[in-house]
Amino acid sequence: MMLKKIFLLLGLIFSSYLMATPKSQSLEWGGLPALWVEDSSVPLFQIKVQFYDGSLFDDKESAGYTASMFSMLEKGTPKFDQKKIAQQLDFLGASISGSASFFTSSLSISGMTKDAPELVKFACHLFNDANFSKEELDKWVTKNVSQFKNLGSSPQDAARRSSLLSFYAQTPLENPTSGRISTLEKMNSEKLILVRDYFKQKVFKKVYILGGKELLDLSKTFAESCGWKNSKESVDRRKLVKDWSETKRKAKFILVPIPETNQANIWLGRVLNAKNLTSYHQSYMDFARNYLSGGFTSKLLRELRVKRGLVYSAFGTIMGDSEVGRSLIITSTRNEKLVETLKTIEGILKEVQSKKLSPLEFKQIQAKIKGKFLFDLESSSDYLSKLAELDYQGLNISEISDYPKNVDQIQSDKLKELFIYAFSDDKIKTVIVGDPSLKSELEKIGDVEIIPLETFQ
Amino acid sequence: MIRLITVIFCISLVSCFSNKEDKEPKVNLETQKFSLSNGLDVILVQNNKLPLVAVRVYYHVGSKFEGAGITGSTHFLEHMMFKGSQKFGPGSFEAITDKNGGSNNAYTTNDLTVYHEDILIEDLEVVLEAEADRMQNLILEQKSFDSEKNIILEERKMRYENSPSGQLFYELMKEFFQGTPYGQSTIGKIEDIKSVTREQMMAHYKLFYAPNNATLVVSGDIDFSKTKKMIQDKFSSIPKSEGLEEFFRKYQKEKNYSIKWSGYKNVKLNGRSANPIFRLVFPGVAITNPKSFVLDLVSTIIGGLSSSYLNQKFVSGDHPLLSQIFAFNWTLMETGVFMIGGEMLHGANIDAFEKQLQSELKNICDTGLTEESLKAAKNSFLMQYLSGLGSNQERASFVGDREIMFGDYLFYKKEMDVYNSISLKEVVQECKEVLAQNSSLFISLWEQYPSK
Repeated sequence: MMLKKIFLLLGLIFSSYLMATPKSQSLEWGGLPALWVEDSSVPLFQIKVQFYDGSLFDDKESAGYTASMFSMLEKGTPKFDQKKIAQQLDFLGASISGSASFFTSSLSISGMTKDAPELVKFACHLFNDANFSKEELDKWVTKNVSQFKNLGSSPQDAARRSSLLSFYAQTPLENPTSGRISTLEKMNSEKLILVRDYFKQKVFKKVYILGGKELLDLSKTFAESCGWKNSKESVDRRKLVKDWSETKRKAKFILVPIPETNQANIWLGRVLNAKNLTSYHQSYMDFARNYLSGGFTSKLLRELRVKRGLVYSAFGTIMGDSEVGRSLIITSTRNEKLVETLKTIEGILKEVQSKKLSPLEFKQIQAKIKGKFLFDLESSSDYLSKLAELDYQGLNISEISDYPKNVDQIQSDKLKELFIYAFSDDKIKTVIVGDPSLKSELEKIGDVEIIPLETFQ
Repeated sequence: MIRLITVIFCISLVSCFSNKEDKEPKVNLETQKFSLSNGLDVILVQNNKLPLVAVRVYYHVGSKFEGAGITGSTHFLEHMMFKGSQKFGPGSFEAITDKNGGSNNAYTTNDLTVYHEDILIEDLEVVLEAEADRMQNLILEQKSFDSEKNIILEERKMRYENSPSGQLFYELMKEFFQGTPYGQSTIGKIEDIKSVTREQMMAHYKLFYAPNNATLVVSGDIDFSKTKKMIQDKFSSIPKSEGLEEFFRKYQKEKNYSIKWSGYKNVKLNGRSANPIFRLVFPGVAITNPKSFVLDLVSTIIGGLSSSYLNQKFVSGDHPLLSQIFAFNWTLMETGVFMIGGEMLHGANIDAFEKQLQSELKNICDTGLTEESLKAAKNSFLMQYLSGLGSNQERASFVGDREIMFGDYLFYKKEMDVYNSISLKEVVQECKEVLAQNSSLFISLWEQYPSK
């Protein structure tokens, strides 16, 4: 009865939410398709040009080049050196920055609305004329190499990198976005200019705008300054991801030793084949994530922290992008409790793979994710990000209003299948970053492959 | 009764701002403040854009009030506040906030403990009831008290023992504030966490968790009069902490935060970092000291922006020695520190750098501060100020933090005027004063330093 009331309540709140969402409009802006979310609440603006390709453009030898190119956009042009650029942006309290992930990359401009015309022109200049001078490139490479060499200083950061690289090995994601010491050291200005020109000329682009109506007047300024256009031949990475097949893991556990560490960092997961995820709506992933983690009522925290006092935090998710999915569980525990923690996680996964959730628990999580969806859209900036995400997935805005309906349609059996696929016992990799002495503990419950941390630098 | 929302774009309308050419944009929030007879201060912020609400409860107790042998107990108590009270048993608090997709969390600092929730407006009444219940009727059940010790020790490992910057910060506070209440860390000593008893913690709770030591902020889709009545119903009957007045009288009389040492201290710590990391620390001022605004600008100009003097000299310039550097004016309630910190590039010599940094600091106030860099620093604060209003929780924090820090939740209305009124001459003078002080600490951590 109580849950029924909650469901009715959430339905009404969703209707209310839709009435209150900021005004959004699809349009052509600066010669590119664009989406504008109106927000005049503060005299600030954000413009993001999204490129539909990312570090998957890099090959094994050029890993890190795309991300470096985007990150170095403020490092100089023939007209402005990095210092002048920094002074100009800081003087306006503004930011122009680039970033890249595997599938997409972006150029972001933000600042005060009154400065938008100047900043739009400046951003176009920084991208189109970036020269990646040898001096700046040397500094960039030295800084990144230095940080890679210090990877072991934080076992948590070391666990993140070594685990993801282990999961991604022999999948389309095997070349890390941030590169490796060996690839960065071979980078030169000419190679980065080629990457810049590829993104400038060949990659499909879309613009996302947040701010007042006056930003729409900058369309011509942007078109004239950037001169970017899409064509039928524009590259869209979503259409290029190759089919791949999963390879067998060498051992149940991978131990990355860092001596004298008093905590074992655990990362467990795998890369999922997108074709096996097509039948699952996003709401299934949201359900899985909120069942596993996100508060003390979640399964991982209940079992690992509340009941057993083994860990401080725990996170679990199943993510399904349009190309490649991922399953993950992350936690850390004191060395002497590593085996107990791993066995507890194994028990949790076996339970969700073999038993259906009770109808009560199922309904509780459905209610939770419906409500959470609203919190995730609380600010205009969150709302624009959601619209951009839907765009990229080829979905339209009705996904927002349809969300409660899609959550109601989640099937218990199908969810169980998703857990079985995402965390299948013979395919998941479990990476432990911690003291070398953990090897003997791990060997009690499975075979162990030792990989030195340097492998991941 | 389910209330359909009314789309009143208060903070969402340009009319709430006046961004004229010659004036800074002004923020105007729909707010109301009142106090209950038991001393609870309440601030309400109305934002009827969405059917959501944020709650924050500030308790004026931080690790600075812990005596010897019970370090870390304020933070420990924060954990225990989620373990059940009389009406809301173990796990109830999370169940209430999580059930409709909301969330809750808390944090402890040297000066404060803060609890915060993001919930649907329909859950406000029950969340306020639960907050009121745990303000007066915490269970502190022995079994969960004992098992929580292990969890806090895991948190300690994650944040301090296995994090070079955490380890450096822990030792920095110990060295710099030795002999003062800020010298004992918020997380606490391992032996104290293990040995603190339920009775000690209950005494700590009884003294500090009371309406006359708390500020409640509710921000979101509320109606002022209904929310006020709801708060009166839930909190009015909670008794004051009788011992609190006496505690603060004694505390004010005896407190001593002055630095107990002088000269230049150089502390080298062995830790897991292949690249040396460092902090150079000078005595700063409390947040209420007017100089704190000037020092905010000084720190931003010399090391807070990409174009900052130290950034250009040591990170982005022609001969970089560091991968990152920052300057930060950290203001606490009782005093503060002015800090410069960073990480060396792999293979760079920290001893040589230390000398070079000291030499740069002798001239930086005369050569590194300009009208342009002052304008950049002011714009940086304006951007931060305007960007902090996206969610109800941010708005609750926006007014709540100012009430706690400056004793005036409306301080935000004059804050940018305070920054804008500061001249280059004042900035230069304050820069010279802070860097020329008799006490300063250079503390660094590196794997090649000998272990003690």
